[in-house]
Amino acid sequence: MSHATAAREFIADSQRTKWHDETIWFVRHKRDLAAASVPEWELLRSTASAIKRHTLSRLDEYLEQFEQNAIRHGIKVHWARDAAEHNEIVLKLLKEKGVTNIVKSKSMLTEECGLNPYLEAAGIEVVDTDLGERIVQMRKEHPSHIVLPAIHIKKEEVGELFHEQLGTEAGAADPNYLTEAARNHLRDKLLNAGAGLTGVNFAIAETGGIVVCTNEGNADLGTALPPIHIASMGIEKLIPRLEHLGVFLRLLARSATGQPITAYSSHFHRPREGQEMHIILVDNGRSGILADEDFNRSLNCIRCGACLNTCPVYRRSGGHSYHATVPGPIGSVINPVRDPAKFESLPFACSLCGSCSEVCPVKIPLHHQLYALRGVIAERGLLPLSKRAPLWFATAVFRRPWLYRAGGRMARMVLRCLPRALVYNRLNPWGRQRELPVVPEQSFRRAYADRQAKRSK
Amino acid sequence: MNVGLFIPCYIDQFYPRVGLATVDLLERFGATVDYPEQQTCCGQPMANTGCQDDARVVAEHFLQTFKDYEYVVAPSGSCVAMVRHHYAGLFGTDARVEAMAKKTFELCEFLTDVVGVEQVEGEFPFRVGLHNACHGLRELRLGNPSEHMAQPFNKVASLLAGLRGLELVELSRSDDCCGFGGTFAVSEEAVSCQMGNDRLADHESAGTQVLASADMSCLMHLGGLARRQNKPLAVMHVAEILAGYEVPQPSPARS
Amino acid sequence: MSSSRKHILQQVKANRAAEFELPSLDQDWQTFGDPLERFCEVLTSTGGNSLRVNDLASANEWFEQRISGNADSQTISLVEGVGRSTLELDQLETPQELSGLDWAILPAEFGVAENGALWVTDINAKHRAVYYLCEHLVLVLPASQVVHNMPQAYERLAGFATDDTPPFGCFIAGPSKTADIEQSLVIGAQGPRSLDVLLIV
Repeated sequence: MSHATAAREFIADSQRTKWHDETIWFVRHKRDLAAASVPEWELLRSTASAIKRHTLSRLDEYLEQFEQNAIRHGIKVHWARDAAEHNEIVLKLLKEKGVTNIVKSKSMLTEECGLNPYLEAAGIEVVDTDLGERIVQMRKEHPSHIVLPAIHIKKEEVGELFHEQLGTEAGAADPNYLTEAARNHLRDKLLNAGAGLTGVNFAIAETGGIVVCTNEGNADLGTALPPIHIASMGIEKLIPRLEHLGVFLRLLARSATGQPITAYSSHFHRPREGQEMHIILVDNGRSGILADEDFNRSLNCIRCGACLNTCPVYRRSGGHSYHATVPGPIGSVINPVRDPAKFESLPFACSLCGSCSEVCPVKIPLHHQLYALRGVIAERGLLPLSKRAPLWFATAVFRRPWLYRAGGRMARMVLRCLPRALVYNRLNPWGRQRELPVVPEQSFRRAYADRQAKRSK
Repeated sequence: MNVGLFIPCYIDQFYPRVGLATVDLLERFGATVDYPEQQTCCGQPMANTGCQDDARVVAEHFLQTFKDYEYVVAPSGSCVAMVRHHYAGLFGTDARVEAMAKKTFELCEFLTDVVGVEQVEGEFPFRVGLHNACHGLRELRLGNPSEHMAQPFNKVASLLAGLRGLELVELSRSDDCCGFGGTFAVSEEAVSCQMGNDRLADHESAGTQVLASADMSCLMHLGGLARRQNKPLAVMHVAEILAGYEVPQPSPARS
Repeated sequence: MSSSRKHILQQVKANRAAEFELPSLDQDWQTFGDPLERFCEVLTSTGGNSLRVNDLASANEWFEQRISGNADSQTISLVEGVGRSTLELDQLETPQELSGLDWAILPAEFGVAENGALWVTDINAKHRAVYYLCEHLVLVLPASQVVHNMPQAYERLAGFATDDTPPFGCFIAGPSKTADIEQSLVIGAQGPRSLDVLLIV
């Protein structure tokens, strides 16, 4: 289904659309306040951008350095070419230890790899411990936002879900009450888990350690309790030095939710005593994008979600309308870059307003990439005829001034004379909710010529 | 100052008054204006749809048409952004493109930055809601966008603010996109209209009497929505206001 | 396994992005007239609570008052002189045994004024779960140990995890929280429900 079709369905519920837009705009507003409180905000952005671009220019060296240091600290490092290999590694580790139930903290990478269904098919109980992720998991859905996974769900719906599955009171929808119920449910899962899986926000080449940021403390509980910690990371999560965190941790939470920093920014550098720690480095198409100058900066993304929050299209169409693990502007870049045929409509789910590029803490030129991707889609012949045909016609007209003048005159005449029912028909999407301009008798060029003629008299 | 006037195709066909107001203003501030008859379009609709080859053909025509002018001025931030920032992607390194990018200006920035206008004389006793069109704002930097943490400024608002009696309303979202977006208005019709209606609601609660913008394309979309819903809202290009043109009477949707 | 490693590294090397210089971090980063004051303000905004006390004895008094009436509270203190441990962390075999812990009184190394965060490590904590599993967390910090900003914080941490330093460190800013249900802020998600910071002046 194209984005436009899915978006139309979403918007059909106008109350919910308004609520969705306003809820997410509120997050964008908090981001503005947080950014404004740091006088050197723009310097931070350009510094972060440069650090990431530098890292990509010698990623192989940093990966090797990272691996060496991690191994030195007793961490086991694995490499996965693709999603399948990543999932196999996780399952093998769990099987070796006879683990049948695991807890997970948020990781968009494991979403990308489809890890949950894979492990569940192998008989492993997987519990997402981030509250939002747990809610969508219980609803058998996917996150609709990379930072706020359940942002599309109303509290009444959560109340109903928890009533059915956790036995909360019927009709109860108070977020405090519901969160308390989830806390008890999740603490029980955390205490009894056989292994803890986490994502990775930053991996530091210089130290061989990783940093994971959460507000709930679920990544910490999920790794401080079970005997195994498995961390999955895309190879692009690397930064060269520990001190670089002093840049990124200032940007991440402020951009994401408007907080000065997340409640917990945990630095894992060694297994706990008696614990095993594994890090899986996943490529899954990333190394192929590295060389592509038009799109490789999309690998700089730190998954803050700010571009989603500011995107006027995302706010009014919901994350699920993108049919991709990562929605919104960044998703509309990284998904079609990997699979243009499958995601051909995403670069067009954008009015090219450019707000995403302005909020991005690592200065990915998102709207320029979306613009460039449209060229890729067209070049590969993936443009639907409905988009292509009018432009063939327009080009034919615009290259011939006489045809443009005659055509314009004719079009204006036709628009003035045709009965309304013929102008506002089913094939005119402009006219479904909008009037066409009031058609003037004269074009500008005629009016101007008349004016000049009068003057010279 | 020798100015080649670029009137975008849809303004030529549908909004001749905006073109005339542009000429009036440029002449009032001492420019010699010439309107090359051969002009058609800048190529933006093709480029924004990814049809680079088509866009190049139309852009080539534009480069030919305007090559001899000292300046090229248009009452449209979007079209100017196309010429200034996106021709390079179509032609690669090309001296003609570089020269064109340097001499092509949106009307308000031309008045402010090239002519050095500080205040436009006149009177406009209305509550004006300024719609900051995205390309003018973010690509041409006619103002500081709300996301960018820097000293606020707005060239369009500053020009308007000089008129006697004009009051600029305060919006709750100063630069959220209206949803026009060229072919986006048609291909993503539902989202586009939702975005537009949200902008109109913001202007209504701020008490806007005249909705103004430096980009007529946004106003074609917003005005089209307002007129369908019979909203008592006049729509004017900034050039019309600055040139002292009258507020148009609302014309009800034709039956 | 090693074949994937080789393959990925080869691909990454072959596809290196264009050279780009590493930027300097030597900048005029944000500082504050009174960093301690700023630290306390931001900590409050993150849902935490701060209290300035003259010495450990006053800190202990504050704690005794805080738990008065809850004589059977389970407490672990790793700050000598503040609170009394009802459990000995070192003697617990597994971190799961911390379940039901009401209070943890633990040392913080330093605070950061710009964001109200405190740096803690597990160097003296056998089970680091103690920071997260307790219902209420109390961190004790010498008031002199507040840096202005994150770049300064990492200057202090230079050398962390490069040799025999603690395996784990964390910036903690406020109690555990979530806004995952309709963006309503709820304090006490999975981790501690409260954070009190005792600043020893």
